[in-house]
Amino acid sequence: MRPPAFAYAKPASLDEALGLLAEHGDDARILAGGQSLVPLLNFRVAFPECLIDINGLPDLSYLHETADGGLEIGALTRYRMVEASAMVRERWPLLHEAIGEVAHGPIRNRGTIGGSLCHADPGAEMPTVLTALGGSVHLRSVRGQRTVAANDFFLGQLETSIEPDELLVAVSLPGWSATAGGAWREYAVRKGDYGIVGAGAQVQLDAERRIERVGLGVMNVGIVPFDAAPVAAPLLSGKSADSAPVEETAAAVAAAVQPSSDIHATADYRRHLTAVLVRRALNEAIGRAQIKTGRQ
Amino acid sequence: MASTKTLGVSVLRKEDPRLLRGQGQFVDDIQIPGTKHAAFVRSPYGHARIVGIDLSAARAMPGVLGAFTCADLWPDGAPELGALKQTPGQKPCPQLPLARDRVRFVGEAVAVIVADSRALAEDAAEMVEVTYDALDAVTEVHAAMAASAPTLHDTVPGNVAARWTQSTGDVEAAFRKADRIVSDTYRMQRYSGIPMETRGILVARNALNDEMTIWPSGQWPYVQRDLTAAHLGLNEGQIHVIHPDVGGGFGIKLDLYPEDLVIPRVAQLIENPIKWIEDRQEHMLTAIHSRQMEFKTEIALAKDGRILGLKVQAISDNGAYMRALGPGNVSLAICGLPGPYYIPHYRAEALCVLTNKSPTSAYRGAGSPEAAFARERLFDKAAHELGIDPATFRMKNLITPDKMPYQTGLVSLEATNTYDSGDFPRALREALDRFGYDAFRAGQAAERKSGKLRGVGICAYTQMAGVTGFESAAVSVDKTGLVTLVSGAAPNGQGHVTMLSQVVADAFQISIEQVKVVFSDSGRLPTGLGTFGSRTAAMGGNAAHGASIRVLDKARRVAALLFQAPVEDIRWGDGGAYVDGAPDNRIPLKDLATAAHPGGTRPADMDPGLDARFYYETDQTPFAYGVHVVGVEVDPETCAVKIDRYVVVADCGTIINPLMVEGQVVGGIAQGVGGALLEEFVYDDTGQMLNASLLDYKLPTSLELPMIEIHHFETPSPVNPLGVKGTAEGGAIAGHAAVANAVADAIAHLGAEVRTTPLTPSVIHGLIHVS
Amino acid sequence: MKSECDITVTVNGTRHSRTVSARTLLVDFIRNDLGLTGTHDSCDHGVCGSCTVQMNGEAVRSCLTFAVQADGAEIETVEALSTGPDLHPVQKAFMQEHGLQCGFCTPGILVTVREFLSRHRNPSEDEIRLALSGNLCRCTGYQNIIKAVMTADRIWER
Repeated sequence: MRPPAFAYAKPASLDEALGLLAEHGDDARILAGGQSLVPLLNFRVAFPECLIDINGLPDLSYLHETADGGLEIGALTRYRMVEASAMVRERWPLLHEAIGEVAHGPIRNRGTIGGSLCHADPGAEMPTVLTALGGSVHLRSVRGQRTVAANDFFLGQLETSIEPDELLVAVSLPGWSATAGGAWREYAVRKGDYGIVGAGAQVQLDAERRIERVGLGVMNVGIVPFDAAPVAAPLLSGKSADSAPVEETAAAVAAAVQPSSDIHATADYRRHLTAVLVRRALNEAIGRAQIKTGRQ
Repeated sequence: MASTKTLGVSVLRKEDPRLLRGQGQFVDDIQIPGTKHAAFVRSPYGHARIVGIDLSAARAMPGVLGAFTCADLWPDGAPELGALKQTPGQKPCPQLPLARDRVRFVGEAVAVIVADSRALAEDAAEMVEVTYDALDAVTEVHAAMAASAPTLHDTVPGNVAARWTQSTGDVEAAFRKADRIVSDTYRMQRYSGIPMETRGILVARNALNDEMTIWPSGQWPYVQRDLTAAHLGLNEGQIHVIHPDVGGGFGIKLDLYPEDLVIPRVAQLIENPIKWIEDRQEHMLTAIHSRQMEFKTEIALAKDGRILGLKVQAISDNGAYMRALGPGNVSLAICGLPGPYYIPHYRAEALCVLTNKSPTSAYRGAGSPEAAFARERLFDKAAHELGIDPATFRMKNLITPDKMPYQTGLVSLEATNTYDSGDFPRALREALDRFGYDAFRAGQAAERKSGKLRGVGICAYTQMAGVTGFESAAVSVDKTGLVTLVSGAAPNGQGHVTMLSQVVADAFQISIEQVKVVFSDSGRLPTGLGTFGSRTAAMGGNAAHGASIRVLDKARRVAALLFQAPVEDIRWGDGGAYVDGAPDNRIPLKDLATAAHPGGTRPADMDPGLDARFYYETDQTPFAYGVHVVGVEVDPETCAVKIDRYVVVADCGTIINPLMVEGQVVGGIAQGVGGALLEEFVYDDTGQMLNASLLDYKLPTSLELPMIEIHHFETPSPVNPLGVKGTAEGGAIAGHAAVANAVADAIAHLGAEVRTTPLTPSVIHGLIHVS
Repeated sequence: MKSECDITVTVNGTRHSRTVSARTLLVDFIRNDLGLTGTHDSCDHGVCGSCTVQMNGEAVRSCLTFAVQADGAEIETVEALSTGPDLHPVQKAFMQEHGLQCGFCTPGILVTVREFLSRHRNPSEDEIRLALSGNLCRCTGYQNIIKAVMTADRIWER
């Protein structure tokens, strides 16, 4: 099929974009990378009256570290730019590895971080990455700006708390110590498909190499990313990196998730994979944290 | 000069330069000014009565030239798309080009819109209001055969459209003598060919000759012409079918589809050329599906491992209608099931059952992949129960070369299954040796102890290698010496321009550059059949060879006259004729063609022109065969399957182009692997397809497929002059079964039994977990 | 807001100015408005890779890009690989290794491979498989495509 008819605007400034959103709100969709939106149009399952193309706002495409050791990513930043960043590979391996699982090269050349978050597909990596790292999104409208934590942003399948007149302008990942280790582990039947399950783990050690901070998210075991930190942190906090109860933590997370069955996988298999991938992600994250801590 | 050797050489494809430059001409690439575009309104229901169709809003949309229901196009009764061949007891259940009173599967066409662009046609299609009265749907064969099931067609009470039995020997006596009887039920899932180019058709009226030109993405241009003419009440000569490049067929484009009648009919009503290009969702929902078959099997065994007899019931899920080749798959399945094994006492019952899903038909291998899966799974189980190694079990039961030609006694809708030549046991030995089977088995116990899940799977197969009937060829030599072959074959990606150039060049001893090959144009050849069932080397090749021989015969006679020598003394070499003993004094082809031209110098009793038309007719199908041995490793944690090793030994008779034969073998295996591990059309209970896209229906990618090692025997077939056997389907036939067997072997010691496919990680997890 | 847009796009080195409907996909613009039919549409949603073209030097799916988004951009399609009598080394390698059968997916694969090889030298088989994994081919089983990429890497002086 071919897309239904729509009106098109390509604002030249953020204010213009927000003005258009304020005017058209519910009837408009933001066109960023288009890698999730255009399929919906091509299959005629979405019928927006207008598309607001934000590709004329290069100021929304950036990647920089914040003073507290965090990371801010502009909404229009393409996967490719993040993937190619040596800083991200070194400091944020969880994010780097997760992007490596996003579809295929040509999709990553166009797809944006902000677009994926707003699309909120439970099988997509970015929502769970944001959850695992304890990140938040910055939303702007003519009414002002607000910041929403990952856990409050994702409400359901393809559903977020963004208002019709709001634009996601940036993503913040909070500061982690330079010695934190992270990892993303995912399994998809065909690499590049929406994963059956994915797990992202971020671990920070104290000077005695005890675990002092844990971020953990599980992808595609529910309609929103599963924030596993509340399950994992009590089991891991204060434990020596060498003898952390990773296996037990993975089992506890697997017991806590509520996956459902679909044509690609049974709920049982998803639960099983949760245990496997959480264990793998945690082991890798802890290992990386140990190496980094050892370097200091 | 040495003579030009062209047969058996891996010459590079003549097709490639233009395809590589993006100069292919697929149907959607043909852009005729003034063309209008069609879009179909399709049923969202698996089963419903049509209460009313309101096209008024659609007709009022901008850019719309017409909107039609079945009654609009055929007020006096619509043509019926039904099965072309009949099995005993077959009941008619044809499809109408547009559903009139009732829809029976999601995606069935209900109305058609024609507009200035595809987008506008789709806009208008959204405005069509169809009122449906939903009916209970049935999507599974056993449910469809239950007394309480809804009836799909009044002509088919009980939803069994065909049921018949075929047998050889005395199977009951064989079972009475058995030391052991093993039985099980195996189910192959519904999957299909999914060519990268979807279907499509362009129709333009040609006032000059009062003809309608049809460019379909198809596989049988002449059959399409004849059926279209018959259904539209036209003469065959009023329809000119030309195939553009066809972007993959695999059997899926071997049908007369509803759109194939609707678009020409609309073109009779609207002056403009009309184009319809299927979108991918339509393809998933409405292009024929295949493979879905259940086999209840029972095998009688002697304790030394010999097979005494085999009983099978094959239940085919035919979907909502019996289309052109509807009963063919299960007919081929029951006749092909014994495969390369000596099974003198055999009885098989076939059932075609109707369900509220897309109709099914032939797809690469057509019944044989299904049968091979059931047979080779059953054989692994039989060997296990007898305590015999599965390779040894197979070796004991393969038909030996001294029995060739071997008559199975089975006759399908397409062929008499007589194996013409070959050495099946040698192929198995060779494949096992090259794989290192004994070493693999020797190490397997230790690997299992260490927690590794590695397995090996075997499939020996036979392949009907050239669906018979006839094929046509016309060869002509022009005054410049160019040899043109017009073939009745209809390639869809195989490289037949090159393959048949080699056949013709070999006959004339010229270079393949001196040969031009034209296909699939009903304006250039009165009739032909097409490309399907691995037939083009055996049928199209021998037709091209036969026509070339006839032209050469004329050329020799012309040469005899020019040389003033007896025709018996005329020799042929290096593209020209000479008198025996004087090879340096040669008359080249172009001079012979010039002499033979009307008004030229030729024997008085010879028709002018260096040309000949030849129909190669035969009812003897060559049979190819081979053995696949596959090693896999299953990740005990993710349950992912990795194919470690894949060895093929195959015999497709005389090889014309080794490089292209390998391409066919590997391509077939890729589709078999897809079936074994990934692919399935999934429907819910109401007949909604749950994965009608290439994201959710999983074709293999470059990451799932292994490098494949291929070794050939070349036993020339005695049943045709070139000695060739087709080769395109063996990979799909054996690939599915061999990979399934390998996975089954990898997890057998955990108590898991594989009876169905695809073996996705989730399914494997379930098998391991349940056991 | 407008539903018709004026765009200027450079395709294979030639500038084209056209008015297009906002909903026109880049693949349809290239094929229907410019008549460059080497770029194919197969899956409609970016999964199969048949429609891959280069936009400003990067491989993108032309079925997931609107023509209006290509305003001001440089596009290269399969037709740009070779315009003279000689094939591009990547094309030559595909011919030599029998890396295509029906040829429908081939243009998207060639564009993808050219981009990949322009950034990678002497890639391993695993790297090649990964680079090709977003392009579906139903004929070849990929074996000869992978060999073709290896051959192209060897013969393409870049």
